[in-house]
Amino acid sequence: MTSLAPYKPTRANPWDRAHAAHLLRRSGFSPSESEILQALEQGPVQTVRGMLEPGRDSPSHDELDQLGRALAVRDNIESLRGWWLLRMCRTTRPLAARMSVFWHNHFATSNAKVRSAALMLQQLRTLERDGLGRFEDLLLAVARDPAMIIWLDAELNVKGRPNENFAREVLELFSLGVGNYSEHDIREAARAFTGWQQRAGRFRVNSLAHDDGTKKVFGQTGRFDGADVIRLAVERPACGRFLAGKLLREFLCPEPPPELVDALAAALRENHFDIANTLGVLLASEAMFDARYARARIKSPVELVVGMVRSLELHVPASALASASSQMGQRLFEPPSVKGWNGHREWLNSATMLVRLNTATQAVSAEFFEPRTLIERYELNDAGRYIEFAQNLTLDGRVPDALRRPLRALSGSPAEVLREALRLLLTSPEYQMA
Amino acid sequence: MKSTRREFLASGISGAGLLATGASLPGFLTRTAWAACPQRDQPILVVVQMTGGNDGLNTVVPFEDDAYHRARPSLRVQPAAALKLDDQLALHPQMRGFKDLYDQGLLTVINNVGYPNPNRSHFEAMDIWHTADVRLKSRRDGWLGRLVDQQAHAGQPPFALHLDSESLPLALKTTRRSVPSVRDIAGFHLRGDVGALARSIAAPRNSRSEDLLFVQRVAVSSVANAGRIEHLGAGQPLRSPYPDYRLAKHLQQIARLIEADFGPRVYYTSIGGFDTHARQVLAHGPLLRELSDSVAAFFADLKQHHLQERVTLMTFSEFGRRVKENASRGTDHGAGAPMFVVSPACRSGLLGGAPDLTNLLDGDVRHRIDFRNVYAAVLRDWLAIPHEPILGGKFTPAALFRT
Repeated sequence: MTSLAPYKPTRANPWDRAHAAHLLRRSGFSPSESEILQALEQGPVQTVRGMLEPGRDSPSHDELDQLGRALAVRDNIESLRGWWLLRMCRTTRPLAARMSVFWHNHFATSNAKVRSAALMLQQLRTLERDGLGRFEDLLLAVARDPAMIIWLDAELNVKGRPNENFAREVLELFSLGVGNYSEHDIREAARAFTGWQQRAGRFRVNSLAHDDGTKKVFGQTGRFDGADVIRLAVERPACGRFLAGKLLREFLCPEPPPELVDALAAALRENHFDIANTLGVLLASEAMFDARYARARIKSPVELVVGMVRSLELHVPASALASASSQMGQRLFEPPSVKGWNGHREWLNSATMLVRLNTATQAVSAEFFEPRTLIERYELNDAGRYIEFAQNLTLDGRVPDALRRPLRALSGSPAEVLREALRLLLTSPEYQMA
Repeated sequence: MKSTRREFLASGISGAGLLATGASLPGFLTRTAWAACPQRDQPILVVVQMTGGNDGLNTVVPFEDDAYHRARPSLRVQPAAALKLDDQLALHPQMRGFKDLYDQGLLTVINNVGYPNPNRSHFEAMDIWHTADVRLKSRRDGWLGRLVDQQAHAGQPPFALHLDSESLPLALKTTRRSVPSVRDIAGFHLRGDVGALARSIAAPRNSRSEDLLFVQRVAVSSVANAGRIEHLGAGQPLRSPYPDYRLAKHLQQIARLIEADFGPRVYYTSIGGFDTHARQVLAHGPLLRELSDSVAAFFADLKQHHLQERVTLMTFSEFGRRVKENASRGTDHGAGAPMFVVSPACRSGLLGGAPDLTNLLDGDVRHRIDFRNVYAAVLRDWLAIPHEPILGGKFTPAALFRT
C-alpha cells in the first residue's frame, strides 16, 4: 500500500533518470536534458523544495511577462492565449505555471461570456499570485474577481431578491463538491454574497444591495458576508477531500484510491490549506514514485505542446502554440463549461489525435528544430548515442519493443537520425502518457 | 466491438507478420479500423446555415398573389421566369438546381417556418435557431452540441464536424466533447512519412494499461482516417463536377469525408450574404444560385458513390424579410421564411403552404410551422435519436419523412 510518506531512494527503488523526469513532468512539463541532469544531481527533496520556493523567474520570461498588459488592452484574447503559453515555455518556475492552468480549469471562467481580455488577464494574475498560497485566500480573491463576478452573474444577487447561482457554484464547484451542503446553506450563503459587484474592472460591495442580516450557514449563525461563507466552507471536511481529489487527479492518476485522498486531505488541513506545502508533501511522497502511477495520465494539450517545446528546447511562435493547443481541444481562457475540461480520455478523438501527431511532426521539422543544437550542447558523438538520447528524453528510456527495431534501423546523417528518432517517439501512444 | 479491435491490435498479428505479408500498411489499417467503426451506414445530417436572413418571399415565390406584386414593385420575381412548384408557389429563377431536386422527389420546401414572438436581431435570432430556445435562457450549448455531448463517446470519431471559413457556431457548442472545426480537409492531412508512422503506432504493445491501449486505438483510427482521405483524393476517376463556389467547395469536401467513412454524423457549413437591405436584386439571385447549384452537385456526387441514401441536408436562416420592399430596393428583417430539406427519405413536396399576405405580423409573414418541429423530425425520424432531451421540450416532429 502506497502512502504520502516521503520517498526515500533505495537500491531497489533508486533516484534515477526515470524518476527525475517523471517528477519534473508531473510537477511541470516534459523536461529538457539539462533539467533532468540537474534534478538527478540534487535529489528528490532538494528538487521539490526548489520548485516551491518563491523566487524570480528567468529574464526571458519576465520580459515577456511585461507585455501582458499591452496585449490585454488590445482586447485580443488569441494573442493573450499565445502569450500565456509562450511564458510557460520560458518559465523557470514550471510548477507555478502548471498550477495556474490547474486553477484556470478549477474556476473555469470563459471569455466567451466575459468578453474582455483585460479582465481575463486580471483573473489570471490573481491565480498566479495566490495559486500556491492558502486556498481560502485564493478562493476569496477569485470570488471577488471581476471576471468571475460577470461569469457567474453575481450582480443579479441583491438584497431581497437573492440569486443562488453564485453561491451554488462557490460551494459546489469551487470548494465542496456536489451534495456537501444543503439547499438551506445555499440560500443563506446567497444572502451573504448579495451586493457583490464589479465596476470598470474593480470589485466593490454595493452596501445598499447587501443583506447584512443574520444568516445560518453550515449550522453556524452570524451576520455573515461572502468572506465568512468562504471561511466556513473551507473549514468543512468535504473541502479538504474535494481539493485533495482534484490535486491527486492532476498530479498522480485519474482515479486516486480513497486512502490517498484522505491522506492528502489530512495534509491540507495540517498545512492550513497552504497549497505549496501540501504539494511539497505529495510531490516528494512514495506514491509519486510508485510504479503503478507512472505514465498513468493522458497529457493535456497544454502539457503536450509546452512539453515538446521545453524538452526539445525549441523556439516556437506564440500563435503556433495557441493554435495547436486550441485545435487539440484546450482553448485557454475558454473552457467549455463551468466544469472546466474533464481531461484524460476526453482529450482524444481521431481529430484531436491527428493534431497531436501533426504537431509532433512539425515540432521536429526543419521549421522549428535544428538537431545540431542538441547534439553539440549534450556532446552526442555517434548515431547510437543520438537514439539513446532521444529515447531517454522522450520516454525515460522505457521504449516498447514495437519501437526498438524501427529506431535501430534508422540511418542517415546524424541530424536526420535524431530528427526521425524523435518523430517516431513523439508520435508514439506512449508519449501521450505522463 | 472495442474488445475485438483491442484483441486484434494487441495479440493478433506480430510486427514481423505485418511486414512479411507485404500489405501496404495504410490499406491494412483502413480495413481494420473501418470494419470496427460503429458509425458506418448510419444516417448523416448536413446543415447549411444561410447567414443574414434570407428573403423567403423571393425564394419561394407566391407568384399568383397580387399582394406580393403590390408590395414589391421593383423586387418582385416575374411569374413567367419563376420555376413553378405548384399553382401557387415557385422557386426563384436562379434555383434550377433545387427545381431539379424537387422534380426528382428529393427536395421538400417547408414554408412559413419560424417561432412565436420572432426576434429581428441577427445575433439574438441566430442564437435562437442555434440553441432551439426561444427564450434564450442560456447560451450554454447549441442543439447540435447537446446531441454531440449525448451521443459521442471518448475515442470514437467526432460525432459532428464543422467545415467552414467561419468560427464554430453556437449550434455546435458543447459542454463536454469537442467538435473539430476546419476550413479545409487539408486539416486532416497527416504530415510526413505516413507508412513508418502507421507501422510504429499500430505495432502491438505488451502492456496492461487500458489507457495506453485506448490511446493506441484512437491513434490508429486517426492515421487510418487520414489515409482514407488521401487515398480518395489521389488519382480518382473523373468525379462529379462541382461549380466554382465556396459553398460547393465545402460540400465537396464534406462529400469526400462521407465517402471516406470518416465518422461524423453531423456536418455543418454555411453560406453568407443574405442580409439584403439594399439593391437586393444584385446579391440575392446569385446567392440562391450558389446554394442550389452547390447542393445539387453535392447530391449528384453522393449518388455517383452510392451514398445518397445516407444523407439529408437541411438549410435554415435566422429570419425571413419584410413583405414590403424598402426605399433602397432591398428588404429589412422579417420573420417567417422557408427551410429546405433534401433527402432520399422525405415525403417531398411542399409543407406550410403559401404565405397569407393579408394577415401579417407587423408587416411580416406569420409562421405556421415552428422550426423546432423540423428539428424534431430530423432528430427522431432521420437520425433516429430521441428529440425531446435535445430540444428540451415536447415538439411534435413535422411530417417530413416517409415512415
